[in-house]
Amino acid sequence: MKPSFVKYIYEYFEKLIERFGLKKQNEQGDGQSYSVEYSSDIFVVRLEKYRREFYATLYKIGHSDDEINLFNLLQYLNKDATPKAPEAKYFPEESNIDECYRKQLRYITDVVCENFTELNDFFREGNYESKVKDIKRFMMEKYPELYKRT
Amino acid sequence: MAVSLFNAGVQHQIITNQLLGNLTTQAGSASQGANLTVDIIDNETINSNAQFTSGGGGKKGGNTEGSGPRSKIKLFDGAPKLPPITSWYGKVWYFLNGRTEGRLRYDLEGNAIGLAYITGEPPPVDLKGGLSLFKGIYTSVRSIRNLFKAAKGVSVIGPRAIYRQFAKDIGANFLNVTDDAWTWAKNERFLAGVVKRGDDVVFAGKFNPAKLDPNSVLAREIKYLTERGYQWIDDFSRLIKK
Repeated sequence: MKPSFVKYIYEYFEKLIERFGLKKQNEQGDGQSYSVEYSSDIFVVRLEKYRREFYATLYKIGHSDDEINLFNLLQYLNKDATPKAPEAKYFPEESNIDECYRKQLRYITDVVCENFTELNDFFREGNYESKVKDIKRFMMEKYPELYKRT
Repeated sequence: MAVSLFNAGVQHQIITNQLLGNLTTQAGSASQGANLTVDIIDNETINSNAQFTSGGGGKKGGNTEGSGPRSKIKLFDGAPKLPPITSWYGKVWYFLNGRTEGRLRYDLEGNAIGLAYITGEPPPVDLKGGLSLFKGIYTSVRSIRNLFKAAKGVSVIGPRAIYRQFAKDIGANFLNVTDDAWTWAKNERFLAGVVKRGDDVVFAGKFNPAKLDPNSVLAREIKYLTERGYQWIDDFSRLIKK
């Protein structure tokens, strides 16, 4: 039996399927673990659950090792923009876990929908590897406390 | 390397193979017996710790749930062979201390039989006859010493959703609570155990800074570790305590 949050994923991503022609693929889960991908012709949106959180990452087709978090990417693309790019929301104050998942999933799909053109342009253009390197550097400089290395 | 997996599919197979390459110094051989220690917090199993001590009678792997047949991993087929030990004093030394060369353990004949013990524990010894008394004393002393000394091991945190199964497959520690029961307090206690033991922390799947949301629980876990002396190795495949 599929976990209850799966119905929210299907419901909210249906919007992306209808509007942008995404296709569902690689759904995996065993009760506690869950991940699913929605693919366009150019890039893939990967949704993965960890603890009580859903992480949305994206990658260009053929570059699954070079995933980029949705919100990191938007911050990178809009680093000088006003207003600021959206940040991830996990709704930890929501005591009802089902509702917590529903809000997260709705928020993620809304952000993907609102920024789909910008995301599509990023992945359509070339130099993906060098852009990913640049995003990694951007994140490491912005959050050095997370990336202390030996 | 043949790894039998459960139901996580081809991607899991790839990830497991990829990371097992990095784990040969920590994870231990799944074909070796491993004794388990289990920390219980609030009546839930938080952390199963596979200690590679002698005896070989424990369950394999670090999981605490029934999970069907375990995987068989042949890690040492290509290991170099050492000359056999023939002298009597060499044999005595072997019985007392085992035989380690590089990061592998060897038997008397010079065949690689497993990974070197991270804690420096000697391998299981099959002593017979008049040596059984010695064996009993030796085992007792070692058991008492282990009561006061937690073994360094391997722990798994994200980033993949399959981290639980991955941890089970390699016999590593992981936070084994359902998402419904998860709280940061439980998570923090698990991490405190990781820090206390000095476990290496590995990731189920390839990690890179572009995919980590700095506001996520995973980032909070990493921050907890880095604030307590952990650092990434260069390719971001693991965090180690310095």
